[in-house]
Amino acid sequence: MSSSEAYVSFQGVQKSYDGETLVVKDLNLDTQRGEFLTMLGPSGSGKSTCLMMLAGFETVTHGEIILDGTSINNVPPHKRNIGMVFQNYALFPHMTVNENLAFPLQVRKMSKSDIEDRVKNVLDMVQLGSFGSRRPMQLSGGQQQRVAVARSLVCDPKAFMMDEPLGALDKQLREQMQYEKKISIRCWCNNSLCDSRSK
Amino acid sequence: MSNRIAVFNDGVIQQLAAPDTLYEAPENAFVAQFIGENNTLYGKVIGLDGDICTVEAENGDKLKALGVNIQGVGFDTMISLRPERVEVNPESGQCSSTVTGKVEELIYLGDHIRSRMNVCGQDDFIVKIPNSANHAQLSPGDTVKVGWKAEDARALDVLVS
Ligand SMILES: Nc1ncnc2c1ncn2[C@@H]1O[C@H](COP(=O)(O)OP(=O)(O)OP(=O)(O)O)[C@@H](O)[C@H]1O
Ligand SMILES: [Mg+2]
Repeated sequence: MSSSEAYVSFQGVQKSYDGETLVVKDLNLDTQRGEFLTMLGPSGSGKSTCLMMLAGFETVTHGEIILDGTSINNVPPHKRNIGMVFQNYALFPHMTVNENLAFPLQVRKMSKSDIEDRVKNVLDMVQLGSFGSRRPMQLSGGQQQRVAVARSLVCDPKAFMMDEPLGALDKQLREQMQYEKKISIRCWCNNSLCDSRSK
Repeated sequence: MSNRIAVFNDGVIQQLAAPDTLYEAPENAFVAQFIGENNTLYGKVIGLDGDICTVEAENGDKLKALGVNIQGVGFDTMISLRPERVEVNPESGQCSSTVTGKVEELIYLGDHIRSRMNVCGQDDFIVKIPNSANHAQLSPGDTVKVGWKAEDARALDVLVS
C-alpha cells in the first residue's frame, strides 16, 4: 500500500512526553478513505496518544502525519477538521443537548437554520432525536456518550475518532455510523469488535 | 470497506490485519495471547521440516507445530493453540500430534463443555468439547487422548514477562 493513496498516514511517528521514554516508538500506519480502523491494546500501550497526535492535541516528537495528502504536523487542531470523542467525553453541563451540538457550529459562524438542520440530523443518527432539550445530567451514561459522538460529527469532519469502547452504542448503530459515507476513518480503542482479553 | 485492527503493545503495532486474520494467524506470542483465548505450551524446537517443526515439551512429549516465529532448532518456543481446535480421542490419522491429557475440571456451557486438562505437564490446557450428538463423555480424573493438526499449533516467540 503506497502512502500516496493513503488518506491518513503515520510515517515514522514517535512520541515522548518527558523527552526520555518513547511511548510511541516507530509508527508507520496507512489508512484508506472510508476505512474503519480499530486500535486494540493493553492500558498504556499508546493508543490514545496516537489519536491525540492525529487530532492535534499532542505534538509529534519525530516523524510526520499526513491527512489527505498534506502534512498536518504544524496545523492547529481546530483547522484539521477531525471529529474526536475523548476517553472522558466532556459535554457542557449547563447547556441542553441541542445547545451542546450547536456550539461548534456557532463558533464556525454557520446560519441559524443550517445549524438547526445539522443538529437534528446528527441527533437522529445517534437515535436521540427526542432528547434535544434535555441537559446531559438528565441522560444515561450511554446516551451522553452518543451525544458526544453526535457533537464530534456535527462539523462534518474529514476523520472521526472515538477513544475507548463503544459499549454504549449498540451494534446496529455502530454499523450505521460505519457506513455513513462522509466519515473517513475511525479509530476505536479497546473496543470489543473481536473477542479480546487484556492480561 | 476494509476493516482492520492494529494491535498495540508498548508503543509498537504488533500486527495490523483483519479481525479473522488476527484470530486465525497471529504472528507473535503477544497477539496470540491478547486476541481471544489460546492454549500455550512451552518447549524447545528439536527439528524442522519445511514449515513444520517438532517441539519437545517440558514433559518430554514431542509435538508438531507450524513454525511461524521461531529462531531455529535448539531454541525455545511457545506453541499457541486455540481450544476449539483440539480434538478429544481423535480417530487415528486425523491429528499430527496426539498426547495424553488428564481431565481436571469440566464446565457445562450449553453449546459446549469447557474442559481444563493437564497436558504436557501444564494444568491450564483448555479444550472446548462441542455439545454435539455422541460427544465425548468425560469426568474429572479421566485420562484421554487429545490431538490437533500441526497447522493449528503455531510455534511463536517466547514472551518475556
Ligand atoms: N499527558 C501525558 N504526559 C505524560 N505521559 C503521558 C501523558 N499521556 C499519556 N502518557 C503516558 O503515555 C503512555 C501511553 O498512554 P496512552 O494514553 O496513549 O495509552 P492508551 O493505550 O490509550 O491506554 P488506555 O487503554 O489505558 O487508555 C502511558 O505510559 C501514559 O502514562
Ligand atoms: Mg486511552
